[in-house]
Amino acid sequence: MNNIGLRRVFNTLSVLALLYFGFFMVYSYFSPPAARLIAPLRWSYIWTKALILWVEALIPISASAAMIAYSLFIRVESGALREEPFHALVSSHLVLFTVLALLFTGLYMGVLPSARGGLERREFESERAEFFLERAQAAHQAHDYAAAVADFDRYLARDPHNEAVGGQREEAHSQLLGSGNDGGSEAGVPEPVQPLAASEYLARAQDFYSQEDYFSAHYYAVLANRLDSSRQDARRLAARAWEKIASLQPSRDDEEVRALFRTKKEGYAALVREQDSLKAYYIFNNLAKSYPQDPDVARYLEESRKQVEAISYFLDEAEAVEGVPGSGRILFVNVRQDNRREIVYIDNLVETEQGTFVTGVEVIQFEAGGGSDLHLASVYGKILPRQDEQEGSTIVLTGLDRNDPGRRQTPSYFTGDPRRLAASGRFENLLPLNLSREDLAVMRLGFPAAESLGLSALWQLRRRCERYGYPGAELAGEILDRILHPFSFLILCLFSVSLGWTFRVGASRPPRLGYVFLPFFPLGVALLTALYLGAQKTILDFVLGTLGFASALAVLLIMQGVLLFVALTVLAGQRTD
Amino acid sequence: MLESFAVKEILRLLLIFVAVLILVSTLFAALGLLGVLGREYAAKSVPSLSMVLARLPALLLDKLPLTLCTSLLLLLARSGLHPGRSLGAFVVVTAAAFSVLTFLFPLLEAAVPEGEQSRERILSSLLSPGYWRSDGERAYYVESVEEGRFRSLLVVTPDESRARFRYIPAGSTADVPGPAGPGRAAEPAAAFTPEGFAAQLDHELDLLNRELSRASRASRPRYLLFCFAVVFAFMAAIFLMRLSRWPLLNLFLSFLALRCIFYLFRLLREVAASELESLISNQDVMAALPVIGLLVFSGLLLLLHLLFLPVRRGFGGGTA
Repeated sequence: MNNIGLRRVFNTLSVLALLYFGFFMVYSYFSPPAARLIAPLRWSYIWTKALILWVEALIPISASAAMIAYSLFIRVESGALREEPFHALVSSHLVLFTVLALLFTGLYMGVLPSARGGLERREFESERAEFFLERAQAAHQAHDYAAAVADFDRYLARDPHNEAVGGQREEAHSQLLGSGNDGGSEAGVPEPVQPLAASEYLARAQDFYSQEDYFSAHYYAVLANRLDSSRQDARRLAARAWEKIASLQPSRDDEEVRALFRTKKEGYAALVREQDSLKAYYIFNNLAKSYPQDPDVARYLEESRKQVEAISYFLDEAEAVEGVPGSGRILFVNVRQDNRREIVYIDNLVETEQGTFVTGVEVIQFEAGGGSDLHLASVYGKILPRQDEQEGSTIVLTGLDRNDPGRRQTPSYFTGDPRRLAASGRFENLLPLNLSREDLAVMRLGFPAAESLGLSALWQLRRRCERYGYPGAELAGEILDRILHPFSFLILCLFSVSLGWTFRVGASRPPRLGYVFLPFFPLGVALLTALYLGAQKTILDFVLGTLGFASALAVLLIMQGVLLFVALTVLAGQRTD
Repeated sequence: MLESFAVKEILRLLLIFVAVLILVSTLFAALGLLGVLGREYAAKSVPSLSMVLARLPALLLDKLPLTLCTSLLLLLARSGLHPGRSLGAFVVVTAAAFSVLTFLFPLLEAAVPEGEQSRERILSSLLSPGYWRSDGERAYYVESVEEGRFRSLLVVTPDESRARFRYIPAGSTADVPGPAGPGRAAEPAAAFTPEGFAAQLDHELDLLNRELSRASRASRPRYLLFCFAVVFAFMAAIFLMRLSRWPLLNLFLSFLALRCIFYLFRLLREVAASELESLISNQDVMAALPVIGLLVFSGLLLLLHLLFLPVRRGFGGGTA
């Protein structure tokens, strides 16, 4: 019976597995999200979704196949074989089920989480692409061609072969060129200054001084002195350069040139001497409109912009993320050094080319049992890396208009006086976050990202998430569940062998109509599997809640050992006569 | 001699039925209690023994129809009992199942303590010091809870467009803005909610229990008729165990038919009832809809049984 039987078991399993994969492909094709996905993602989405459903259903499919094969196709007909014990006849079958259980482990623990993550990403990317397309078309109709082209490009980055959208983009682009507004020239903007050592800054300053470029000489000498305050030579060079700037007079008696020089000097003083980067930014930004080719203006506009962006964000960039799909409902305890609790809520987090923006930010601070003295909400914010080289990031909560110094967006304070808080240094519309960027995206209500994390990532996150107010037990439950499934696969397959053999058709021919029901067996077994897993999960969750993760893991392993023993004993007890 | 054997067989079957019933109830109740304890410990509250035992009648009540049909399936699958073999034993087992449902349901219902699922209990399980808990609509964070009083409670309502946080420095659970009443959404730990098929079955059991409760309050004849319809449907489904020469198929069909009874009930209560409301104005007929549905379904199963069953076939699909 062994070889023929093994082939029959394998064939039954293959047919049932293929049948269900086909069914899940059809289901995934017709289920709602697939139809509205962009073309390049549609088939990979359908394929991945079918794979996920199939792996999730593999236990009932395999158990049903074992049950059907042993009930219908395996027969002990020869007299000699009838003398053999049942376990001896099915020993090679046990090897097959063990190998299948190992394959299932790889699929369940390795492929399934990444497939779930991939499915979510595809859905998310498609949703974003649709959003950009709708926004591009709206901008096109409103004759905002620059915005339309930018959004068409964002869409086409995700769906490059869409000729219809490509045509719309070309139309918007030609209208943009015709309007003479090409979205602003980048000419004259110097390369960002790379961080150098103090001596190198000083060498640059000396070069510029010898070339009689006193603004640059002063700028680099100040940088060298800031890096190394003991350098008297840098301080002296900066003083000499500033004297030269002060004594400089425009060579031509031209009022415009005089005005430009005065304004540049004023902006430069604001940037370097007063360290008021915001004032400097608006001065150089105004000058850049009239003198876009002036290298000093371009350089200090860039420098002041960088400094401004370290404490604020530009409103046009933040407003552009309104409604863009992102990571939603982020809620966590922001760990602080003092004994105060700080809770942060972020309604949506969106990654863009300009950086990471957040919308609907709310922050509250309180002491245990005491009142709250800080509670604010901000429409937007921008996440920047921490300046102090600690793990984490900072949310800047002050929004600025790129051109209008009078237009600002600051948080609304429900509790707390912003001036007093700023004066005391407690809060200046900069919110340091004490968690990594990766953890931030996971700390969402209900842990929706947990099921797409691998076992090792879950294991590590289980400890860290407690700091942010999320019980590690939920992730521990997910870990136990992942370990439980492969064992259940093997045990339920073995029980199914016994059940199938007990209820075998015997010598008589099975009714032909009965074959019609074969594909439906996994549906019935799925309910029993759910009850079997549910009962074990209840026990494990109880142990997890009372004794902790290590005990729950030990109970899980003992329980599987006992169930495996019972399954093998029941199998060995089957009669062949 | 024959009569005494029949009486012995009947008594033996009755004893086995009671034993299986107790075993299955114990299993379901034990799992239910572990679930309750797990929830309590997950919520960092230490439950008292009296509190845990007070949940027992509710747990038994929740699973009573499932316990009954599982016990009947286990008993009849192995004993080979059917009307053709021993009508007396069959009638006694059916009557026993009917009696269990008829008498045990009101007893257990009366034993469920008032306010057992009160809003305060659900809220107190939502307040787990140092951790976020969510009821689906809101998230709760609390620094500490002692004897129903808490310190520093933050309630977060993500769907609010402004001021999502509501901070309450100290108070009792009565001050907590939370779910209006008990319900699935109030479950604090998602880990304990059964998924997929099992969740559907839970919902259908809940619907069946509510209907039983409604019928018991309406009138005695209506309640007895409803109990009879349920037990009759169970027995008709289990009859399929003799349908063909292939025992596994019989078992599968029988199991599927039992599952369909619960599904049919949901279909009649949630889908068909709203569709038929405009067509049938008589409230009595509408109230009797589940009973009619169950009886028609049982009749169809019996008809199928009569059409396919050769007279001499043994129970359990033995050789023809």
